[in-house]
Amino acid sequence: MKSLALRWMFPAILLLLAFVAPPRASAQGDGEVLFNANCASCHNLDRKLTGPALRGVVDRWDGELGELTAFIKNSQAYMKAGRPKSAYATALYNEYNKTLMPAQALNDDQIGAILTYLKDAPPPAAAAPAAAPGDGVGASIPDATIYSSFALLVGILLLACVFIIFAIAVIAHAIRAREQGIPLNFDGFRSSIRAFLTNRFVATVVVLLLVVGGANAAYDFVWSVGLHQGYTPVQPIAYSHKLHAGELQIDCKYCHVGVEKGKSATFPSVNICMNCHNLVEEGPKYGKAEIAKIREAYESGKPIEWVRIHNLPDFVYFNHAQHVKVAGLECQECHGPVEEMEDMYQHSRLSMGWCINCHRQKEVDLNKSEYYQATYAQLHADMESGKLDKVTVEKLGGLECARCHY
Amino acid sequence: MEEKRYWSSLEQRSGNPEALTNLSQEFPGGDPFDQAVQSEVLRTSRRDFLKVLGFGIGSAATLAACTQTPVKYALPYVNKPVEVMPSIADYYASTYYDGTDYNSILVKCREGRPIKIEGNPSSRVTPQGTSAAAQASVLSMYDNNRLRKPRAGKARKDWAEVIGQIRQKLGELSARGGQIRVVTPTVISPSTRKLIGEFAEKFPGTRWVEYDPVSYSGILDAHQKAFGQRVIPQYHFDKADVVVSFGADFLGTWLSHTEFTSDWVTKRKFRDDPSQLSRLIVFESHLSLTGANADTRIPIKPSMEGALVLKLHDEIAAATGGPMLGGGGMEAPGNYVAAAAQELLAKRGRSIVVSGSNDPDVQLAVASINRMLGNYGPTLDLQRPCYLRRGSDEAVSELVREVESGQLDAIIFINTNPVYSLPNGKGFGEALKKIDLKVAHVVSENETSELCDYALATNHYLESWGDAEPYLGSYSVQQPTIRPLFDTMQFQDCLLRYMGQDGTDYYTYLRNFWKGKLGDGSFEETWKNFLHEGVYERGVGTGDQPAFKGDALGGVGSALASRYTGNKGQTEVVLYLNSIGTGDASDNPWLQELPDPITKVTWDNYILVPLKMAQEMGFKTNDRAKVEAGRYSVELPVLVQPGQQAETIGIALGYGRTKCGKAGQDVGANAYPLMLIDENGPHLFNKAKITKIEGRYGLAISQTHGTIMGRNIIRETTVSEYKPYVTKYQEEREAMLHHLVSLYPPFRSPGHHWAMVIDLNACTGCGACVVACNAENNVSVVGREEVRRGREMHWIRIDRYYSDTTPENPTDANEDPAEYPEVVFQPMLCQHCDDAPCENVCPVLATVHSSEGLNQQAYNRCFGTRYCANNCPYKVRRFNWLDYTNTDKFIYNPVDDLGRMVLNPDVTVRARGVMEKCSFCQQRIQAAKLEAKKAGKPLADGAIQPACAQACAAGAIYFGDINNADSVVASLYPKHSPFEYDPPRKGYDRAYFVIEEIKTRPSIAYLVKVRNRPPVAAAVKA
Repeated sequence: MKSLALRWMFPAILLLLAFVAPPRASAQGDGEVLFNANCASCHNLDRKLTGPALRGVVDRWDGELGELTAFIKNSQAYMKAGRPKSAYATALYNEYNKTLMPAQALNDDQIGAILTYLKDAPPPAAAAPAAAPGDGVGASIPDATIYSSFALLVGILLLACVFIIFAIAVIAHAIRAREQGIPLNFDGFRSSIRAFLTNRFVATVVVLLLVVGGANAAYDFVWSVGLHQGYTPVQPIAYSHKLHAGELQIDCKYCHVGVEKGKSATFPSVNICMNCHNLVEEGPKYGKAEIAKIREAYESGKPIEWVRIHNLPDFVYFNHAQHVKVAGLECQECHGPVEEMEDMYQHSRLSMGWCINCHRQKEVDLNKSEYYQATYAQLHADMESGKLDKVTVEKLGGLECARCHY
Repeated sequence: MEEKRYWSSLEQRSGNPEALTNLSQEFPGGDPFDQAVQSEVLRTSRRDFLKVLGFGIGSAATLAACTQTPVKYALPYVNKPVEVMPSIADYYASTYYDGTDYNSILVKCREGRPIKIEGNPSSRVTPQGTSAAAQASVLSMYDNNRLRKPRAGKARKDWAEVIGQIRQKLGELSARGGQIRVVTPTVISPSTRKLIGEFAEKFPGTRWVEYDPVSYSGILDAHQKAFGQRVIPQYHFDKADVVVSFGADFLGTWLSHTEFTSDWVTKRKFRDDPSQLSRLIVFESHLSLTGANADTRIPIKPSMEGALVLKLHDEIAAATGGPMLGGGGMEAPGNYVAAAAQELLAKRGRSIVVSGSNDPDVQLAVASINRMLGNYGPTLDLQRPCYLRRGSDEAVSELVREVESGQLDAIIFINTNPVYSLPNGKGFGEALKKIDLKVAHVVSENETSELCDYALATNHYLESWGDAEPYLGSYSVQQPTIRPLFDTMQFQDCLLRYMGQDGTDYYTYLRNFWKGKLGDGSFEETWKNFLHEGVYERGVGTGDQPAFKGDALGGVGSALASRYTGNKGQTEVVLYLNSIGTGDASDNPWLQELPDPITKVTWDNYILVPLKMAQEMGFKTNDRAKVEAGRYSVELPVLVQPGQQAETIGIALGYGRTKCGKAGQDVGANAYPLMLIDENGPHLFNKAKITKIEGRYGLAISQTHGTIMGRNIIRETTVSEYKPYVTKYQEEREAMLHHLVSLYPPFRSPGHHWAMVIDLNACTGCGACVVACNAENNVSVVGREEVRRGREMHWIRIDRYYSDTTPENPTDANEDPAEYPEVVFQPMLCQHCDDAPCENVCPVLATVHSSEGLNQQAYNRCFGTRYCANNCPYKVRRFNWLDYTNTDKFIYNPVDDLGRMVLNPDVTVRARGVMEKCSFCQQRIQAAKLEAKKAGKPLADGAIQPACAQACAAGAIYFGDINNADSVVASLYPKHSPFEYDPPRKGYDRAYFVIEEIKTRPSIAYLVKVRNRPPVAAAVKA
């Protein structure tokens, strides 16, 4: 795994440098991408969803692009404004169960691009085949790999330095020989190298370095046993947090419903997926292929076998509600920039030291609720009187064994 | 005041130096390592060799691959039910009734799996706690031994086929007028009663026999005769100031003992003035739980019971002008019957006389006594009769006759096992061969189903629909808490199909049954409410009690006088029940390992032999003996039992199952055949002969190890001495506390400080808490062999101490006071000491103190030096000597996937080499704190109930935050100590800490036991 990453790292970096990747959906361009990102959750080209089918929409608005653009930008205002197509818009509103189309933060050019796409989009039968699943999966490089690669680079640089210093010494020796007019003779040089290599002190230092380095490596290895930072398993569905949490801005709690209630944040049940994917059949990347798996699970009643990424040992009790609902932590504080993760991975170390560190640093606001005020009355009074300047989780017993081990 | 002597075993009492040395050792039986190596458990087998080989390869592979993550899957619901949230428990109301005990319950389900039983506070019948058997019942659902598919002959068959065959045969039989019998235990489900009635209509020639292995026919028939109703009255022990029991173990096993425990203790709890405590007087042969809790206990022979009841009757009749029965010449030693009569007469309408006898004449006399005392109405209610027993001896003996004479064509057994529990079960089983169609509906195969053509796998009660009417007008519902684990079907569904009603399932039938019966409102609404609450109360008239028919008493006097002669010189055997019950639950490892409340023996039954007989016949505990009664004999080990009546021996029922799962198979011997059967029905005693036989046995007794070194760990007094006792105690304590110094830095808890108070007056010693703790905390079962070595894992145990104070008046000055022991029960669990001796000896800080006053045990840190256990003065730490949860040597534990479903996912399963102990149910503390934090409200007092406290029907255990001055525990806690770090507290006089003088500063306080005993002189004079 690691060697593979290394082998491909340099070409990858070169590639990255070569294509300072232009965003795929440019401001003016690609109407299809804009459509999928902004409209597809409620509209389909040829089928009624929450909103009407959009093929031929420009014709239905009698080619009045200006009116249509204004409507898209703010449909509510448009209906009230009494513009030429307001009556038509109100009729539409009534026809679709008075579901208001939210105002869209798109500029005229983008709307133009979408409308162009709507006009030119190929009919359903001729639609491009969906991209094969697996395309472009796993582009992200976990932090750990980056760090070890960095260490290797430093090592290579150090070796290069040593080589350069050696070369400079040789050249200097040669120059000195020429200046002094003596024939070039490396004997002294050789013997000094020999003396250097057989020097006890040097040998001791080298051995010591090796021992310390080895011990350090062994120590690191032992402490990494059972820790899986950066773990990025392949999931049964190529689900992208980047798309859902990042671009579509869906609240984490919409899917992870248990996070404020209990121990488990919970994997969303398929019916939660289906709230949206009942309507959204196509994704921007894999088309219908991945979403079809959800529908299949829903229809067959066979659960999706997600691979757990964050695993704690059996003897550890961790409760999401305590941290999210009570302490008010953001998900990202432990799970990292989820909204940027195409493939979800374990961001934090999840070692006991990592937990403890946080409990040492995090402050608890005793004014947060009556619970803390009533339970920790003395600490509360000490805070008020300035005797204490802060109350950390540790002060409330957050480092004690039986808070997590029972 | 005379200094009391407490002892936990006869060896200890004897003061024999050798025995004491042995007892005080940490490992009484010698070096545990030697034993472990030699024991069968560790003997290398081919399997073990392969395991070690596998481990070698596995660990090499693990090391090589330890940077790789094991792949774990998470399977969310496809369509998540709204009420289910992973990691959050749901509670469903249901009903537990095993034919002996009724509990309205809440079933805790995690991720769809029932894992724990709790009492249902909405219930009027059992609002508090559960029985040990109810707690253990959840384990029997995940029993590997369950029947997984219907069996026909020797083959596993499909339901459609089996049902089709039986239906056809039943049809043919009934067409030619064949005789069909349906045999069930007492059915308390009103809808099932209706259904069986319909079945009998559909197939004429059907008769339904309700069969109680331990019969209550006598009391039912007596009430039929006396009041015209074949019912048992409702007993209100909470309204009785004096209770006189003749062999009715109503706190342990008799009738509705969970309910009775809750009721009875309400009159045993007090705050400051003990003068209102009720009195309990028990006449019995073997020391039962009720006898152990009695204020006055008089050992009698079972053949004296009727005569003594007669005597009591006439004493009371003489005083009240009631009908004399005559013929009563017998009196108990010490004139206790006359004394009891005086006490009863002083509390007319506020007393109860109860008898466990199955003799209708005895029960008639008892009913007459209660009537004369005016108890019918105030303390015994026939307006709200009890339906928990319905069996009729007459019907059962008729059935036996029919079976033996070969008159029957078909017999259907439903969840019953007469081949095991009938006195002549073997003969009954033989005779079954004469019947064409034999069907048994059973959860797992038993001695009866084995002999049947069809064994139909029924649902466990946690998988079943149903309803219950324990008392007239009190209903409770039974709802499934999980889909059937196997290919099983409720017997009600089968009955419907036999009747050809394939379209109706029992659920629909049940709903139809309840339509219009659940009060005002739409049916859906009332039905939902019924399911939610689990109970429904229909108002029942509070009119007059039915009239007593005076002529019912005709001939009772002479009958009793002639039958109950005391058989002087004749040894009698008494058969009794313990927590195992009548035999259905014998396969439950939690119940098998729960020590008998009195003898503290696990995993066996045995012969209780009185001290005097032991001395005369040379019996020692663990000798073997043969008991002959009638045509039957059993061979069992002997246990010398203080308090056993001198001419009786005792044997527990429910053991000796021969077709059973791994836990109950061939444990002990079956004592049912020893029963006496006469024209008045079967009786739980008989004339017997006991002879010593060769060999010795090793009973697994949980309370022989450990001595108390003469320390004052039990504190008790009597009502009349209460005030001076506590005053003196408080003075002594004050003086003692000022002598204590500590090397420890003072401990303070900034937030909560958890504490427990245990009322020794309320604890009856039943052991429900022990099983509840097993279930809640995934406590391992270790089996007989390991208990013998003193390695039981129970986090809470109930110590039973005998004490010597001579009761009021032993008949003979030469008698050994140990024959009249007083009994105290003391629940003992980790005391969560603030200056804990265990904490400072742990070399790896695996056990440390929390800021909330908890003594924490970090399993993942512990590496098993066992210093802590050695240094614990309360001996409550438990060590995992062996791998109890992963080897198939310990078959009783959930070692397979099925069994593991019962584990509480919030509690770690401990590995070998790790110390464990009570955590005060830390998982519940954390959960309740979290709820309070989520709501932003202070933690309410009582929001946290450890499993033991929640299961306690007596409400003897209080738990809470001692730093919260308004909490119940704070009001029941001892006065603060003079140390500056102990926050000031007024203190409750009755509270004390166990061995406080060694300054462990425990977090558990006990309340002094107060016996309600009249001064000695008064008793003798009476």
